[in-house]
Amino acid sequence: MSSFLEKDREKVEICFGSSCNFCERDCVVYKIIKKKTYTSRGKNRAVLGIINSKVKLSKELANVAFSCTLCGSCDVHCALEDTKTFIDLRGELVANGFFLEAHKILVDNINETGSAYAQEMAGKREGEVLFYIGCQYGFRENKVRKILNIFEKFGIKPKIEKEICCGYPMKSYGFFEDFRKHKEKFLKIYHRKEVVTLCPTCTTFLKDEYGYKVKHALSLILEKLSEPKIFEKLNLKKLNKKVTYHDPCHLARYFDFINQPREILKRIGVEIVEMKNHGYYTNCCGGGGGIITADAHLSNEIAKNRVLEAIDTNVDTLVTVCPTCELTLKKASQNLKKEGKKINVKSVWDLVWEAIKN
Amino acid sequence: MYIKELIKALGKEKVLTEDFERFVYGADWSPRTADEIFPPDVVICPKTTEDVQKVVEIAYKYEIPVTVGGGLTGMAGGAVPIYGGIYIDSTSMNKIIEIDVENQTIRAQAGATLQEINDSLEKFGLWLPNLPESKWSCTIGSEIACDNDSTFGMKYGKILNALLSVQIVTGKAEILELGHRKAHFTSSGYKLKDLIVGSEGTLGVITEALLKVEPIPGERSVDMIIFSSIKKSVDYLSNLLKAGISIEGAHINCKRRLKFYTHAYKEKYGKEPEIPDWAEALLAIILSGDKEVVEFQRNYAIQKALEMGGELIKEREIVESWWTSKHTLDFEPFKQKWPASQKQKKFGAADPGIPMGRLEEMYNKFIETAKKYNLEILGMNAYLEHPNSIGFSLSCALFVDYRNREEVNRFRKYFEEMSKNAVDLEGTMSTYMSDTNLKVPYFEYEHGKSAKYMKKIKEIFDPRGIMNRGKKFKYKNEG
Repeated sequence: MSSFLEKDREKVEICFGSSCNFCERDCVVYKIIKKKTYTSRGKNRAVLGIINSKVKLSKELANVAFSCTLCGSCDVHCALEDTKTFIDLRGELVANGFFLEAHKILVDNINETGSAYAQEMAGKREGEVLFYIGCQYGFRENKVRKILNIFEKFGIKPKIEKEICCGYPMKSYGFFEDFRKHKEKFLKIYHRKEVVTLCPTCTTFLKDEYGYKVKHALSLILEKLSEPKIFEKLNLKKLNKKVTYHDPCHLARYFDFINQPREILKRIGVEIVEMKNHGYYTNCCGGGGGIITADAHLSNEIAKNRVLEAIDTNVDTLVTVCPTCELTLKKASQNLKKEGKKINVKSVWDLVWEAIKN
Repeated sequence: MYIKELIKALGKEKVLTEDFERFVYGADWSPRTADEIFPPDVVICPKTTEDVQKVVEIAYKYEIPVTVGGGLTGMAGGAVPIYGGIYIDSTSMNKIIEIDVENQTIRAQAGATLQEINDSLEKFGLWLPNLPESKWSCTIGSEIACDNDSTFGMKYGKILNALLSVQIVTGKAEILELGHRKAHFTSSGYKLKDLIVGSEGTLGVITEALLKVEPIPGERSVDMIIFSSIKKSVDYLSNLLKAGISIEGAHINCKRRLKFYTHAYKEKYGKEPEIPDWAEALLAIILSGDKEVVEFQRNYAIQKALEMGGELIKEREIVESWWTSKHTLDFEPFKQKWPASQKQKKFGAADPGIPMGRLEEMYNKFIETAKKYNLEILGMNAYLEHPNSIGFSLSCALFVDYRNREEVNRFRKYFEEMSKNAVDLEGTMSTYMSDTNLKVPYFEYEHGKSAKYMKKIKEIFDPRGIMNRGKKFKYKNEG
């Protein structure tokens, strides 16, 4: 009897009962791999089979389970929390030895160094407002410096404590026992429960897994931009640009953070031309759920599709606010440039810096 | 042995043999318990017609059953491989082959979904109006194979009205093109193309389709009008047609049925929409065209409804909620209708067709039969599916507890009896699900002497009886 999946029985039975297939609608993986095993319904049915002892765990099932970005597009088009079931499926696979070596490396890195990439996390910093930088931004010194400078210019003093990974990779890759121990460690370091975050995944994970009161860093910027005469006070520029904005999955779907980045861009004179799939219905960048290490080719193809959507809006810049999205979309845009299809990829932070730097 | 040949012919990438892979393909949308999943022995994901031909050659050689599926949202088990063997997942063949704007045609591989087809046509101002609720998953191949319905059937008809030519791989692995190229119809030869519509994979595998498409209308209005009886709503529609109104879509919901279709309203307000007690029929009427034309037709239609004792539903949220369920499918994020409303029981329906004057009789028969089998009634919907004429597909729907085998069996008995009821009322037992295996007991009852001609046709196209074995006809080796 499976230990992690039994609690998903009701959900997968309802999925079987409904069999509606709405999950296929915007599944970025299914668009590329046209096999029903890769859809949410397919994975739910596999789980039903495991629970009812009709299906065995296998390396091939693990390949399918890990070829998912956990983007939640299926969740939006459903009423069952499908991505949570898929994480449980990964837990079941890993507990029975069906893990990916590439994922184990990241988990070992977290265990040994505190960082998913075995790199230095952002260094300690004195300040007033507690920020959590996370792994993805942590080792990108220049990026972090730019972001912290933005806050300093707005009169906000970020404080950074000694950080370890929030643990999302451990849990989402199915290493539940490692995560259980890591969570205890994390809670000892972050005993204060209010934090400002940068990475969308850390944002939702700290809220949902740890129960923290979390504010995404852009909220502070929006508050500042709403102050009277702030443009004159800080000599802020209006950029007069047209861009398209890619909503990071975790921010849009699980943190309801859709209007705020748009409002910020609007206030600094940036007009947004929306892609067809935006907001809750954003299409994944191909970076989530460990897919970059599980299947780099699939990750690239997903990112390429998203960049092509951006190019269809006829603007010259694609903007986002997630370090993973930025990475995959930038890489895809560089590959597409060789085919004569061009678009620049920037972060919201880049544009805010352009508006505020003197 | 034959699986090794399949792998050699197609490559391992296109041949799925793992137990979980086969399990996923072992059931469609139809009401069944979780232990009634029929995994095929192997799943094929072809990319081309030639791939399909190779599969059928091998299947023919070893007499292996071949079942083809598309979106797997079939309501009666048509694509469930009940005899095992080979399952072909047509969705891996989803290319748009050609769009001919001047002739208003599109040619696509059979696995292209109706939404994919329409997405490719949109920039040319064209569309394929054959759109059921399952448009995001339903493939053009399945639409043809089941002779499926459309939300806009009253103007554009069913798929046969749009189908110009169809390419199939027969049960002997022969590739055939059946149809009349880009001419809209023909009076030459025998209409073999028409045989494929509703054939549900029993004559061959549909691999490509050439379809006539239409200009996208500029405006659309959607309204609901309540009547004191189902008959009155039918008389009303008849009157509108006589007056020259061009109706894009018409759906007659019985009172109980509306509840199922207004999920979005319930989510928003936490209550059912309020409909007067006297209202037995709720007619949804869809008009489209240029703005002035739609306005004129809409005003005329509303005025006529008042004269005939109908009442316009003024609360737009009820209408919008119905339209969301039926067409736009823009449900509240994370609250889509199907899984939210199927927690205990699922939607299960029979699909008879009835002459226009006997609709109320059929409705009463439906209620009576549902009660006989002690099944919770969801309601009846009459879909108008013939261009500019009154012709119904019916959905006589119940709630079925899919965790309860005994209840599922009672549903199947209800389904069979409704098949007989439809024929007894001068109608037909199927209008959009096709026969599957569930209507096999009443096949001769429906078709009389012509059934033997149909069997002969089957033998010509599929002499070894490998194509979707057990559907339409009893498999010869069955007791």
